[in-house]
Amino acid sequence: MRNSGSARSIYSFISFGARPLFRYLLLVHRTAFVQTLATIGLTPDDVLHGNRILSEQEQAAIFGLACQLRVNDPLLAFRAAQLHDIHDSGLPGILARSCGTFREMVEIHEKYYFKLDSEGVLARASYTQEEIAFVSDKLAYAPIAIQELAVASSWVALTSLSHEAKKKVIALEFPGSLSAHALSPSQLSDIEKQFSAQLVFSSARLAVSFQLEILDLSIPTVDPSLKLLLERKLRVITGEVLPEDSDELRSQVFTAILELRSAGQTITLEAVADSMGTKPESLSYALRTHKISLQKLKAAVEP
Amino acid sequence: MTLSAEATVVFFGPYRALLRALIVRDAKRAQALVSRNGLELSELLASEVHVKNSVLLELWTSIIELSENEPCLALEASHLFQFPDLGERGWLLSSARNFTQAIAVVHSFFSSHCFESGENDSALWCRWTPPAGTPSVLSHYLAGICLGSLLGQRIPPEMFSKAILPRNCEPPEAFQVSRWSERFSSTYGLEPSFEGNSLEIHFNPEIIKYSFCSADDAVFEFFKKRCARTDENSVDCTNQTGDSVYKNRIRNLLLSHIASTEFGAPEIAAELGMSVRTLERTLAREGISLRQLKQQLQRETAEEMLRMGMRAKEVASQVGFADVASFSRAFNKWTGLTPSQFRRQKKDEK
Repeated sequence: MRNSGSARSIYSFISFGARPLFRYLLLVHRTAFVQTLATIGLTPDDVLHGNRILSEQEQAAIFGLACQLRVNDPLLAFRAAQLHDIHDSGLPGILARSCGTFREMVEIHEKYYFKLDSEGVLARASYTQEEIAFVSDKLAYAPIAIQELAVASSWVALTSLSHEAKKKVIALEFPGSLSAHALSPSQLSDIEKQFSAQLVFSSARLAVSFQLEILDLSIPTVDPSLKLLLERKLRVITGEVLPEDSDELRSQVFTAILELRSAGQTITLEAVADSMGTKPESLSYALRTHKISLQKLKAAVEP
Repeated sequence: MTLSAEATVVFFGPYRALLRALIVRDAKRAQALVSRNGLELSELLASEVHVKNSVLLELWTSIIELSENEPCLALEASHLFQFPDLGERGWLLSSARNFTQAIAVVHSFFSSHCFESGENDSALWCRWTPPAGTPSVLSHYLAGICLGSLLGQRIPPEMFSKAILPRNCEPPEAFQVSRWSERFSSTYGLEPSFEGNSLEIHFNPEIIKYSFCSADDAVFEFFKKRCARTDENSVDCTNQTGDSVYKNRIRNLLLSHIASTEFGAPEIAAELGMSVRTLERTLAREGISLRQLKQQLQRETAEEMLRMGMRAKEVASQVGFADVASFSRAFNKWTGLTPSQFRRQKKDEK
């Protein structure tokens, strides 16, 4: 489906999850980082501002550098995680920030993150009658630098919770492969002090459990109309609805036609709708509303 | 720069990026700085809070001291800057369609006395003049932010024709001038010259045809209204009291539950750990009642939603009205228009 493909290219975990690491490398190990990027034909701008999926070779080069640098800087990932910004999470992150309560935030998370990221290390919410846990099962498959970054990011996120929310933390589970080395002894003791929570390094997953009451806590950055605006955008990106903007709709249809043509497929209303992840009836209605002619767009790509 | 240490300022984008740089270089020093001032790191990094100027001065001093060994530190810290760090104005700038729109935003919503723009025979130019006495390290840093922001829009290097930095940005010999210039050239594709007191960038006139990569008309329209409203309502924050802090918290609590008809004074008072009477007294000192504050938020939110094209029925439930009739009556009382008249009017204005 074209929309999910385009969404992944915008919100790939590699873009937002690893961006703090890229910033850290640029700030502290600039020469080595710029040289590494140059060997794979990239610039700092490509990885800091662009939202691109890195190829396996590109990932190996950058995370390989991070692993080498860890030898002399064991807290590299932790320091990098301090550079994390909610805006790094793209539209879903900012949307989550504009929610009124943690309950809404979790709903947004469940609704959109998985549509936007099918290969990352993002957490899913897991409920029992007493608690809600955010679990990242896929972490074990990530490079060690990313595993550490995820743990460090969780730590940074936890410390930034309000005093009230911190009291709701029940347990913290970090990947056993990292042992206690992902955090310094002082950070470990800080965690125990701040959260009075059990900290376990045992399984292959990263999980943070909260009492269910956290769901009703307010989020200080609440912004109902911004949330609505961003949610509408996400619905377009994830293919739930077609764009309301004529130019954007025309551009999406045109891209779908080009893709079908390059794949050697017949360009019909049904095929274009399928490619855009919508129904032919909805597409037809939207095209009529915006006075866009599918025939004219088709003619524009004819040889 | 002459600053009263006791006066307060909003700790926003550019300061936040410097704080991030300090955290990475010297986390203990960063932690000590904020703790001494009764603040939390997370608070400063995540939201726009008011801080005393003395906090800024301490932050700048730390960066200036660290720069003694790393002359490029401030310039590199500018990479940590992000548009959304500027809040509403940053969103507006980052969603602009092109150079012309972005320049108009800067003129309208950023302190225009520091910024000028124009054109001559061969180039378009922008000039930013830092306040007299700005330390050179900060001039480096702000120059980096200005240029980095443009690069963030993927403006190709051939669109830049000249960069002139304030003379006090020129590093002395001991600061490895060549390394600094090399760094600048490799980052921005320009060999800077150092003259006068201003940062001046000249662009190829073709830049006006260039579309910004993060352009978004819907976001732009949304934040344009917000910025205009914020400007109208702007208040002197230099004497922010504890009451204002409470008002902000009450505002956020009301917004969190704006769709609920049940959330009122008892619930807010309980959340804030005070009695209903104390809550009322706190708001009275601010010259507003809870009812008025709630209505103000309902009106602002409803107007924004209607501007987005939402129907009255949907908006009514989103802003806590049991039915569309009572919402329409209230909206008419606030604005003199029915919700659909308002929506049509805003659509026509576009």
